[in-house]
Amino acid sequence: MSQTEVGATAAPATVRTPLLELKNLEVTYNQVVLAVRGVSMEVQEGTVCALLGANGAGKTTILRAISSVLTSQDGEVTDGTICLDGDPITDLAADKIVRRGICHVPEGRQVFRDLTVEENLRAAAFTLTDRRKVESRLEMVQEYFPKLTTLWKGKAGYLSGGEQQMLALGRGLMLDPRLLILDEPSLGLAPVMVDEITRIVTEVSRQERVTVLLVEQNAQIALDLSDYCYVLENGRIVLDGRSSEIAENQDIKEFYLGASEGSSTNYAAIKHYRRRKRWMS
Amino acid sequence: MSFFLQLTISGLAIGSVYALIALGFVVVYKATRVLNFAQGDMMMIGAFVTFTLSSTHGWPFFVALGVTLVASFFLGFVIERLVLRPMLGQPVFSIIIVTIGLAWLMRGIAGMAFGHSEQRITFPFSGESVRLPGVDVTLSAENIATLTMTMLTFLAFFVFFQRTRWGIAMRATASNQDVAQMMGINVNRISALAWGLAGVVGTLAGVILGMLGFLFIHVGDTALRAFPAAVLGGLDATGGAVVGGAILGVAETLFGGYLGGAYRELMAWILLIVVLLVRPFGLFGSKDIERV
Repeated sequence: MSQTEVGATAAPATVRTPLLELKNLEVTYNQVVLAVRGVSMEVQEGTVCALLGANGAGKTTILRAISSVLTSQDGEVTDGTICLDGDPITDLAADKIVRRGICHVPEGRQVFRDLTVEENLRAAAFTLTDRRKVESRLEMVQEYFPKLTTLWKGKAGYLSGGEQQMLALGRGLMLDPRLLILDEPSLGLAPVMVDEITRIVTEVSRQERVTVLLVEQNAQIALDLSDYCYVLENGRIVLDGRSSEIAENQDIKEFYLGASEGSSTNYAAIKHYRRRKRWMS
Repeated sequence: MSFFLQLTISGLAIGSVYALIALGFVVVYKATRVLNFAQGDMMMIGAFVTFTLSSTHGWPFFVALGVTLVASFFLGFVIERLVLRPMLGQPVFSIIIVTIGLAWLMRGIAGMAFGHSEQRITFPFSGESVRLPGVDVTLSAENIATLTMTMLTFLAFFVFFQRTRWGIAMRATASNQDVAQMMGINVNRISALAWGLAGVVGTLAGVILGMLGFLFIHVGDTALRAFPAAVLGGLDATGGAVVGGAILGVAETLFGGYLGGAYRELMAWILLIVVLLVRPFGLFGSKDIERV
């Protein structure tokens, strides 16, 4: 059906060129598996945009398409374009994308385990050739994450989950990105840690004026943090709008915030499920 | 005692060669997870080029060596570009087979270009030696040169991997290629650089062997003898290469010296098998953690 229409009509009412724009993006794995089916979305400069969806909805695939790291998993963009400042970047190599100011913090933290904390950060600053800039960014990361300073010379593989997530975020900040892509920063972390990470992301996005594209399964976090939200199901955007409005949406409350009345097997839930199915077909 | 020390010294010298060859294996393996069976033949080519420049064309030894080192960097670079890059994404097994093919190709070309006879690279200070006072041990000029060159090379590699932007990027790529890419590291360049460096250490090893009188087109087989050194140290550990090489060299020479030459050859393989049984990832290698 007309997924593009959903994106087009519900896009924020601004005339500015969005910082990042996906137009009808389609991604295929192994030349047969269609993981992303015509997704259109816009991320406005200076905002936090969330992409919400369950496991396997295609969230990570979209992010990998943006940072051009699909090939290692045999995926490719089969249709549509990705634009940065209105400039197509769909076919650029991964390192070029990074140089254009897009930084991707991968899911599951994925720090360089055999490298020290410091080396992880330095590796992330690879595209920065100005040494003084590297040092000043290192200092900045230490200010945001004082905890990392105490672990500076330790191997990243030995850090706790929360510390690794801090390191992963710190790595993302090394390049002074214009767009920071966060893939499930809350995944597998203790609630205290999640709060800490959430606080830091908010702080960073405000103080460093970084635009953030946040991917989450945890709707509460995604909606709290973001200004605008897209809901992805089965590789399609099924709903988008201001996060404050989305949070009030009855279906979202039930499916993602777990606020269903009664048990999940009752009639109401099934009815909602049917209604949700209608959006997707 | 002095016999033991003398054997140890020559063991260390031959161990240096193993260490350098092992370093070649390690660099490529670290960056690309490929076992480069062409390492020995890259070494042979480098040695022959140095020999041709210095002995046939009369260039001063160190100039010839310097030029060859630069050239071998580009040889490695070109091999990666022409042969390995197109194989990207193919199963590692096929890539390894390709390196074996590459090895025999280089050997064939070397046979045509440099002939099949055995040669020796003349080291400028050849014949001179230093007697260590107190103990009855003689260090030949070749021994000293070998040990110095190896130590300097490993020092340089250590600094490169620990301190430089490219070195850290190379380790990051070895650790997680996918994420390295996301951080803007061009993994293709990293792999080309690794092959270039492998060419450089290969040439160094080959030239040292050449100085010791081992220069013929099949000298690349020696690299297979150094393979246990790389495995012993751990295929992904730079420091492991030097320790592995030293252990192997000394063990070989001691066994050969005390038990007779026949045991010498056996030692490397006994060590390899024992190490693989006890510590499959080597003394300093990291256990592979599967990440999906």
